[in-house]
Amino acid sequence: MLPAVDQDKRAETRDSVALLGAFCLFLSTIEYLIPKPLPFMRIGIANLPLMLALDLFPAGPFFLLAAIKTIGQGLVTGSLFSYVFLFSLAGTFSSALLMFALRRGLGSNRIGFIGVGTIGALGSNLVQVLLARIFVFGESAKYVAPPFLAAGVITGIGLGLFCEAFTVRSVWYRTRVAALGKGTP
Amino acid sequence: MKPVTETQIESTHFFIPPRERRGNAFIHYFPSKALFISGLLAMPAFLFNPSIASRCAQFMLFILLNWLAGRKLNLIPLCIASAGIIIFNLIVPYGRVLFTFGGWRITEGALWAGIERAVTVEGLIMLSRVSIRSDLRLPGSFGTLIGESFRYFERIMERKGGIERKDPIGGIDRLMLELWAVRSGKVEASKETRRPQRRHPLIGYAFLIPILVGIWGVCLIPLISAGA
Repeated sequence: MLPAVDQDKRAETRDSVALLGAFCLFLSTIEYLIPKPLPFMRIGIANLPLMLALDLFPAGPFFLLAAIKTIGQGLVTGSLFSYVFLFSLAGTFSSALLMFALRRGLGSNRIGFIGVGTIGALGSNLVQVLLARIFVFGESAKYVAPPFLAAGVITGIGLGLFCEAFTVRSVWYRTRVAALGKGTP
Repeated sequence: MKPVTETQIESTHFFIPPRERRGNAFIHYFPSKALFISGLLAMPAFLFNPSIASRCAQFMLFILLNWLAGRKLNLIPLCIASAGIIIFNLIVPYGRVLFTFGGWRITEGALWAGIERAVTVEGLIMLSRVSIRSDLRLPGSFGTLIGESFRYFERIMERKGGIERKDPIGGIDRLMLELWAVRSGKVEASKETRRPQRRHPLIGYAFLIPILVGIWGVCLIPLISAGA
């Protein structure tokens, strides 16, 4: 049996994952309302909780949050049986993997949220362009790729800036870092 | 004279819009699990349908089902997205040239490929929207965790007015602190919000069977006729 302190920490981690998951769903709802030229082209604001989670959780809960984001998004927007879900799943997990590897590999002193956000958005959009080539556009995907990737860079920088400001100002975030321990070197 | 009950007063004073009425009836007749399974069964019949014409027929059926389910049908974004997919497919020409448009060759192969992809993408979205409802409960510990997220999500949706545009960081922070503070009482809250199992009339299940047969029939007819 786990010691009481470990059990408390596990419960706190679980609750934090659930809360950040809810925040993802909320941002997904806002994102869903924003008009877009193609159903799967999103600005990626729902990735914000994932970026905040980078310094809070180890790999397991972090990717669990990514799964909640993707499946919850599919349930909220009703896209679970569509290509949109496939795009969202591939995009979220590729960006989550890249962001986690970079933040843990390089450390928070070497790479900030702007860098992590930009590379994450680029990774996500690149995977989505590849999927779009297979399922939607065929060869024409090469014409969609430049504006789509450029949009990724812009939203990645924007989200990174927001994250930097949020982590400095947020009382909730500071209490979570104190309780769960900053996971980055 | 019988006294007028509160329910009767409510029913005469509050007008329920037709779309909401259809939505409520859909929730009453169709359990979310049955819809999920039906959607799962219908998906291959749509995705692997070899005929564009019958795929279009399935697409129209999905639109009709969305209408019956009281889902909001935004046809303009649907048309814009479909046109976008078709136009991007036309960029790379292949097949017989149908006509030229300011030096741009519109080819038959690219046009059909664009239409097929547009119908598939939009059709899957329509099928998904009608068969996935947010009250669908997933099994296991992951299902429990996602359920907790949905409970927090409901609270966020109740308080979203609290996030000011002028200070989104402060607003989000206050919201997170507030939700974190009530988490100690979440067991009670979850008991409060746990709704009793809804009983769905059998006619709902019975109605899903002919729909599925229709969707599969539309897919199988061109396959059988091609074989014959």
